[in-house]
Amino acid sequence: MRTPDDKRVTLTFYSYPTKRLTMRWKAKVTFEPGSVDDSLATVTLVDGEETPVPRAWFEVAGQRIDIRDGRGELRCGDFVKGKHETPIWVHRKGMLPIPGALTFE
Amino acid sequence: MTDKEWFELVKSETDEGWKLVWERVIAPESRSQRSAELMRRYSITDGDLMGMLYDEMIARRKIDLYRGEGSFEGWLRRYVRGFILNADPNKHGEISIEGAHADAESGDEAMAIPVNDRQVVMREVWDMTHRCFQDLWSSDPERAYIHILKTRFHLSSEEIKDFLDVSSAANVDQIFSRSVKYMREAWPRLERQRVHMG
Repeated sequence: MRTPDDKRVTLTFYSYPTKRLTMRWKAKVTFEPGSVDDSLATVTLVDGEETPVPRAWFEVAGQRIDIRDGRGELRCGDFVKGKHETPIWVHRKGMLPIPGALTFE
Repeated sequence: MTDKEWFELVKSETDEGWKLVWERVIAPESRSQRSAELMRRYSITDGDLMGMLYDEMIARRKIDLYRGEGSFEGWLRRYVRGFILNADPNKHGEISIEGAHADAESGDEAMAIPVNDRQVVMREVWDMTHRCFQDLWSSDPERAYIHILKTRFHLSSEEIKDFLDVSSAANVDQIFSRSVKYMREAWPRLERQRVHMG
């Protein structure tokens, strides 16, 4: 895989709406220009109040990304390998896992 | 009770008449999908609607404009809807229903009762687009990724081919056109579901 040399691409994923804002989440996966298989895409994860999630697993493209202080990393090649994987979840200790979806943002 | 009797009760400011206004006009209208959304956005309560209607009908004697054509309930509801649709503070700087009412006295323009609200319609379209997109995602996430990379990031088919390791740019085009077709077909189905559920 190779991303365009002159464009940064950020995919945004949102949780399905929940009553409590702290249960919601928003994840952004950013591919830097010219990323290849071994490059790392940056993942940021905040809750519904825009607070970085201190500790979580973000499940996307068949990968479980370790999130600490709202940040994590995803190997670009792994993302492409899992491009057909449907499940998107955020797992936080002591909270119900909340599913989400890719959005246009 | 006939419309004429109800009209007289409202006009003479009796509790019975106004209680029916609440039950038949204000309560159902403030629960209707379109009005409820606008009321929430413009911070209007059903109490505000009742106060407005009382003020307009009694204090300003707008009730005399009712000519008995059509139901009294429908006439009042149209009045309330016009008030809500025109309550956008960005549009007027203040809340006003004058231009919205068919019986206002400012010529032809007064007849232009807004029948829909662009923002509400846009929101519904946006919601439906997301539903269709989620449907597309469930069919195959790769289609959704290609759709986003094409329409949101304006990547060429060649760039998407390299990004997602698709076999050829022509294949990207094919997947994209299928995804558009899929969403077009999903729209009426999801719209029917939404209406059915709603």
